[in-house]
Amino acid sequence: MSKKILVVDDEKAIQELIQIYLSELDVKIYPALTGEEGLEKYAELMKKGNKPNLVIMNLKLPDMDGIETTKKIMKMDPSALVYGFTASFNSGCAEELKKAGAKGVIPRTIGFAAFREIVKKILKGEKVEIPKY
Amino acid sequence: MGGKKPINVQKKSKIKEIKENLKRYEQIIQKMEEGILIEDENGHIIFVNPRTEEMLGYSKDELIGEHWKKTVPKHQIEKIEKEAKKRPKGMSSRYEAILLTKSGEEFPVIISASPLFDKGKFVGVLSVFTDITEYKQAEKALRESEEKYRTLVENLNVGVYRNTPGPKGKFIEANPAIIKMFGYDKKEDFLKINVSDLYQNPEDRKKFNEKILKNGFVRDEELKLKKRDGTPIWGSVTAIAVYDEKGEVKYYDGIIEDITRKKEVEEQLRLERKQLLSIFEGIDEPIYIADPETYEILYANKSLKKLFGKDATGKKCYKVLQNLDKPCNFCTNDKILGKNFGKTYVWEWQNLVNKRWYRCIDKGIKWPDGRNVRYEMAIDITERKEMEEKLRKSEEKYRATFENTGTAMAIVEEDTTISLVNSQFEKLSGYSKKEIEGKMSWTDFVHRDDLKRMLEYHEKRRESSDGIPKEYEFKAIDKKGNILNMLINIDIIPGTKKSILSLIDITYRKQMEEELRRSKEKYRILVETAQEGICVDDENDYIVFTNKAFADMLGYKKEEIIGMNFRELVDKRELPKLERQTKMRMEGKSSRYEITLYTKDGEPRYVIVSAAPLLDTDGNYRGSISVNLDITERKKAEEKLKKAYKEMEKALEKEKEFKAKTAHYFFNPLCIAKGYIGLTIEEETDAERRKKLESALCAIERVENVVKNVVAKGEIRE
Repeated sequence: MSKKILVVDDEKAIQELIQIYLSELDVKIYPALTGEEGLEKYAELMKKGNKPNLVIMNLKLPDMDGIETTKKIMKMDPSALVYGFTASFNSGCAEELKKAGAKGVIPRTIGFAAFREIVKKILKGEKVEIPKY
Repeated sequence: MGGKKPINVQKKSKIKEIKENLKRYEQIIQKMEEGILIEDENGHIIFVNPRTEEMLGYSKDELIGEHWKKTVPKHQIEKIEKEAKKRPKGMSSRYEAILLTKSGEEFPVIISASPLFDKGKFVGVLSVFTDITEYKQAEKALRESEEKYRTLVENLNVGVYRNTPGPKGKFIEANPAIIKMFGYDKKEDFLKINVSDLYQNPEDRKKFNEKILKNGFVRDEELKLKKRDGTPIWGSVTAIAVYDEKGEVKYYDGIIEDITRKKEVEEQLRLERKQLLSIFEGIDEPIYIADPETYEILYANKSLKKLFGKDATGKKCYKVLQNLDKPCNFCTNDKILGKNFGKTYVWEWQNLVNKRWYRCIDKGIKWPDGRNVRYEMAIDITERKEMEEKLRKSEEKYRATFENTGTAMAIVEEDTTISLVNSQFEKLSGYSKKEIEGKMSWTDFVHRDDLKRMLEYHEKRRESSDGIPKEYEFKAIDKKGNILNMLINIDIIPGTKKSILSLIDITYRKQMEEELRRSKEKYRILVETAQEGICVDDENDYIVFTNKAFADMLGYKKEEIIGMNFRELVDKRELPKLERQTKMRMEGKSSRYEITLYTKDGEPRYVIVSAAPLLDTDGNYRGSISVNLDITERKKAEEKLKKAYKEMEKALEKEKEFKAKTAHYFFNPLCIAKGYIGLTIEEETDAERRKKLESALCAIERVENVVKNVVAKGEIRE
């Protein structure tokens, strides 16, 4: 059965590229362009007993930011697995995202091929080492 | 008295005839228990049978021919002659007499004497006599016995009576005791009265009568009776009904005992017991009486019931009083009973139930029913015990104080001998207790400079303590000869000529005082030359002292500022703060705070005040001392610094925002570009075109590195 990934990111191009790059991993991508949409989709999937195996979270979102969205997801499901994927990886916001419940923050500069490798390891439950930039 | 006489022929023939007749009955006569004696008309014995010989102790030959008087004691002759005179008249008779044996012993006999006639002529007498010695003895014994019992009845202290039945009844017989008991002199007077006359209430006689008729007897019946003159008496009667052949009651036989005294004693005892128990009831201390055999409480007074339960009576003393299930192992019964009966035993005990202390007074006493019982009164001495305990502790405390006060102490006798010292004294003097007590005089420890003065004190203090100092300093000398400065405190022990003294070695203090004097001077210089302003206020915040630095700080002269109120110097807006600080001082607390003072010219001076309270020896607030550090310049510098820091923070914030925006606006599009180019490279099969795309990707990564350096280090470089 395919793994489910909820991608919360307002950049449509990023959504598209993630879809393309992860297509070879046998995963189903659920895109959400705002924090609110992300929460709704997570709740809906959870209600169906089909909750996402991974949430990819951008920090800057048009409504509530990625930190707030992560907090609410964690409240809804304390076992949720959330990773940040952001350009603001070098700011204090990345640390706050971790405090909100994210297991790690992947910098945008890593490139999609490397991003794919990290996601692969996360889904397998293997130890992930995220390079610092 | 006639002697032995020959028997004439005529008579001989008659006697012969009789003898012959007797011969016929010889067999019988020989064996008869009675003696047979025949005499002639003159009284001479002509025949005796063997039994007569035996009784009189004579042989037949010795008797035959003798007059009968030979066998009779003199005092009987007259009586027997009187009887003998009846025979010639033909009269027989039976009478008692006493005979005399050959050996002179008398013995009683019954004589049956009959005359003998021959043709109408009196010829002699036939006497048959029976020895009645045994009968007489029995009779005597009986008489004595009867006499004894009669005397017994006559002299009995109890009344013995016989009376007729019926509601009234009459006495048939009464012994002297009963007659006397009821105040009668003569028996005949007593026998005339009705029995019911002796009853105080005649109805009681009826009841008595009914009872004895019903049961046939009464035993120990106590009756209210009265004497002849009406004096009431108590009688205890035991009587039986005696019946005739027809079954009818003939009379009552009874005994009566006067128990008036016994009743009075009983009543007295009852009253005394009642009074005693009434007294016990009124006593506030618990009292009880218990049976020493069964441990049952026979009596408990109100106080005891209040303490140990209303239903104490009848229960076991050890259960009620000590809540034990068996007799107390500290029971004192052996101390007050047996050979100790009547002795009082006093002891103290803490009760196991209420934990209070009691002084118990125990004694064995007689209970009205005759039992020896245990009496105990317990006086609550808890308070006394507590007082004793307090006293003991107090005494211990004082002893401990004497020993451990930390001050050398001693007791001095009138003759200057030291009788008691504590260990501190030993330490101070260098001598041991053994060396000092009772052996040394206090003068042995005093330097000669002070000796005369102190001896005067010693003597005068014992006459009158007026004007004699109780505390003063002197120089002492220890065992090693060291001279020590001492502060002595000495006073007479009330009611004695002894004095108690305590010594404090002030040698060090003296040195310290000198040090202090020098130190004070040093401090004065220090205060005066200090850079910080030092200021002393009184309890109303008036300045009583400042150093030069404080006056200079505010542009005053010292003499100008002394007498001003500290509040006049403080920024008005900060007066509440000053009030709070003053309050803390009054509570004895020190603190450090910042405040704004104004100079004489009205310039603000920012000051850090370190203030401490000044208290008198009783702990009362008397003002404060403060060290005032002028931080105006520092404050100004700080203000500048704060401003610069804020500006710097703003600049940093802007920089941070710039970096964040830079990252966001550059990394996102670069990332997208890289993503798409990467995809295109993966799909491109033409090597030339792939190379060109890879070059484009490389160029993007170079831009990305530049942006990274800008964001991370603020440097524009690859």
